[in-house]
Amino acid sequence: MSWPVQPGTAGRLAVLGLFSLGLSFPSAAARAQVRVGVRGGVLVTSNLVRDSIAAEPITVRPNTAAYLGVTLETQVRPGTWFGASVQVGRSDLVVKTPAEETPVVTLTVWTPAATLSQRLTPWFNIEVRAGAVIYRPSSRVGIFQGGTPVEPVLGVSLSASPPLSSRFTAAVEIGYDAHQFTTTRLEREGFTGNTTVHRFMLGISIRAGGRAQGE
Amino acid sequence: MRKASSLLVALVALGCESLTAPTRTATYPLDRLGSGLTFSWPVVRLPVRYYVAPDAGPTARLVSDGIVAWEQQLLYGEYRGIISTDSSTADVIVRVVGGAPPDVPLTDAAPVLNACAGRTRVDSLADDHTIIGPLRVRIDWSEDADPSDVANCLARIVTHEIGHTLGLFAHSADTGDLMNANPRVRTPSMNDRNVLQILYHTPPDIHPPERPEP
Repeated sequence: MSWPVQPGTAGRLAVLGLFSLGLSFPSAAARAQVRVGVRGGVLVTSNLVRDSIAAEPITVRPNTAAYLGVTLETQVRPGTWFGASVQVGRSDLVVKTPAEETPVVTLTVWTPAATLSQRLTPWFNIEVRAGAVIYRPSSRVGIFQGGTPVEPVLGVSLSASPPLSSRFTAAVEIGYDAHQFTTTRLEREGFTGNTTVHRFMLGISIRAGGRAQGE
Repeated sequence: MRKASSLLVALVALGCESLTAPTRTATYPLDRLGSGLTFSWPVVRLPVRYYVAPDAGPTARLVSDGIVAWEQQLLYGEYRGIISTDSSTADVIVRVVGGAPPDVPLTDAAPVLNACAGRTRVDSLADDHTIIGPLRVRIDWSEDADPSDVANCLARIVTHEIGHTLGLFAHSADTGDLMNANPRVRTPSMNDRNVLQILYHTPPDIHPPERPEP
């Protein structure tokens, strides 16, 4: 599946826009039951491809990546928030054989998603996400020759968030999501089916706005 | 919590399918002249440096196109090549006999096999199976042939010879393969691709020539 516009540019604009909201309107956001957040951490991704050629096992996976994300949420009822988020992670895509580990391209992965967050206890929240994973390699070679995938993704994260102040909340988050992966080139090569890619996130987030009135 | 449970069920359901790799079969030999010895460029030697003599005219472009055509046959970045301007540090030296061939557009005309010829020479191996000196590609073309036949022939032959420089030393018996002794196609076939992929995941017996540093 190919993306009709340059998602790199669109994604960066979305991130900048949400950052601007976060910096400009925290007090207004609180009044409107809207909150903005930024998050960052590390992202571990499972194998994208498992192959075997001449009895040599081959795996392809992104290295552990740093990620950044922004969210914009509105309160739908006390303790429940609906919103949108954009997350981006970047690392080398590595081909691993028993003999060596070779970085092939730099891989940027964008994840725009709709989010639903629910307070479980005063300090703990659960967030579910549904969106898309957009793969953007630095060069369309190898498995990305012929097109880069955009795949639906489902995810969940848990966060522990002692309140910093009436307007700011910091949280430690652990997250997980999953999506299917294949590429046009792999299909042309004779691969069938999809890989289920599991991603695990550990990070922190800071949210501004909303909590004082809604929670 | 019920929603979260539903989501977890959906996530687990995602895991029920898996990507299945195809089976590759080598349809022609991997080894050099029936010796049982194979050669491929190790990752540490990539990109392979190709020097094209300055009087080669459009052949330099054909070499560049040939490198890309072979790079695209591999999924995992096992081979990359570049054009080098320094013959003293090149891994492969390409020369054209008789000066620059005609630079005319390619056509879909049927192949004329005697319009050009190519040969890749691997100088004798040292005792430890290390190739001595750079690999050498020689390209000949016929002044008597129609220029478009020469151009079409060179497009096939140059990519065929680049295939030899990757370690595909044997010829295919299938006329649909680029590595047939008299190639009738311009790009590697699925057979060529499979043989190359298998070759680049088979431990090589022959080592590349030492590369003098500039």
